[in-house]
Amino acid sequence: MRRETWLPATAASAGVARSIVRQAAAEAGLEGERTWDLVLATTEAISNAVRHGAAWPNDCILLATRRSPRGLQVEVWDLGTFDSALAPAPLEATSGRGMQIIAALVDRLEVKHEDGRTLVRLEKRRGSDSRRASASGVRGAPCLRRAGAFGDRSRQGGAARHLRG
Amino acid sequence: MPVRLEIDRARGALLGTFAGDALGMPFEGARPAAIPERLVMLDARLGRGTYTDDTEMAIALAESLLERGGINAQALGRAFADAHDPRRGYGPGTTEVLRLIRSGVHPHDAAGSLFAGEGSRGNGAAMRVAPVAVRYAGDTAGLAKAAQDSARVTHAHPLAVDAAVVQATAIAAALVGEAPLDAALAAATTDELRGRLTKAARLLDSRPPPAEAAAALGNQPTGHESVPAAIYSAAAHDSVEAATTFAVRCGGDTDTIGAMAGAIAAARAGASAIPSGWLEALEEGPKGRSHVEMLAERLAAAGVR
Repeated sequence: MRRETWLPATAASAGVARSIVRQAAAEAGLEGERTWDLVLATTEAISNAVRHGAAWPNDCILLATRRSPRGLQVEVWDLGTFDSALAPAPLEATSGRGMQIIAALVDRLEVKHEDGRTLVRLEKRRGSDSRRASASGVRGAPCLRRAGAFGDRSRQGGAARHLRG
Repeated sequence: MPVRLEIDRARGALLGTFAGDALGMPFEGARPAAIPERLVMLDARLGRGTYTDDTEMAIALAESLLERGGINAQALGRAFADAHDPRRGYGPGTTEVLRLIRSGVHPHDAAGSLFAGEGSRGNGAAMRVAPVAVRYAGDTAGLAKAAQDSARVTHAHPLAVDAAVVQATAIAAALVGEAPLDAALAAATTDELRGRLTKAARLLDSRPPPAEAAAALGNQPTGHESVPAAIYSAAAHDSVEAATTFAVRCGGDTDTIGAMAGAIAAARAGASAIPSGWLEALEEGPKGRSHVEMLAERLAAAGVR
């Protein structure tokens, strides 16, 4: 089931998004530590959209959660450019570390720009499903899948290489 | 340290404060014998899972730290005054200091004017200090200085300042996987704190019930008569639930002793080790659980060296 929520494009919306994702993760059967990861990744995605992206005409950004066969997907939609979604932040920044930290926290990360909209889609899988994926070689390093002809692969790789920890 | 563990522990320091505060609030002033052996979030004052002045001031301190990149006495004083919601149960001393700050008095003058110029001995500076510990964990000198500076905005008495430094040191030790009580003993500079922490170390051999621990270490709203009981509770119990429950069962200033023990225990074990039933009951809203979690994550990132 997919649920959509329009959130005002302000920093305060990150907190609301956390509550929504925490609830959805519990319903999807995601374990505690995986939920913490997904909640933090969502916070970063929302902060990124608010700071670097552009709101929809209703001054909001769109948050959607959807159960996937193996866990939970979170989508953040804004009208920013692809570059804004990937805006790198210095590691010492206290917020908006963006894609660097997101990529480290989720099982799958997809960034897409189409028809003037930017989508950041995160997926976190349940522990048992994640291990299965890893064994079959699907998981491993966080998957930064590029969709369409947008963006610059070397920048994405760069972001992934600069993960902390 | 693996970054996820570090973030989890940072969240633990702040959410442990929040959870211990909310758990202990319904029993404020109670005798140890009147407190149940298992704690759940009860409906009291502003409702189930709500926080008191301890967490409200910790939130304001975290926000000011992030905004200023350190402790700025005037900015912090204003932040405390702006956040002040009298329904959260502030003590008379802090209420008066915040009134003076609001009327334009410099925080140091306001804090120094209390109790005929002696300043407050209250535990108000220690109870809210977790954000300082997260920001300065691993930097002993920076931590002590920031803890003192954060204390002096409302508490001028050396005992209150020492209690804040000792509590900050205990949390910071837990954050980096060291023993909180040993670190606290090494940091204490007043005889009162050193004496009670030494007693706490001895109690680790006999492991008395909460009433006896409280009788030996104190359970009062002063810094030196509450911080040792909190540190003992965390040192004597591995789990967040056991440490925080024991602290609240010490009675007296239950919300603050619970908040301080919860901060240390969850800084050591991480927020993911806080009982889920406790976490789920914590109040949300603009300055609720999610906001506190985000502050912890940002402080952890700001403290990376």
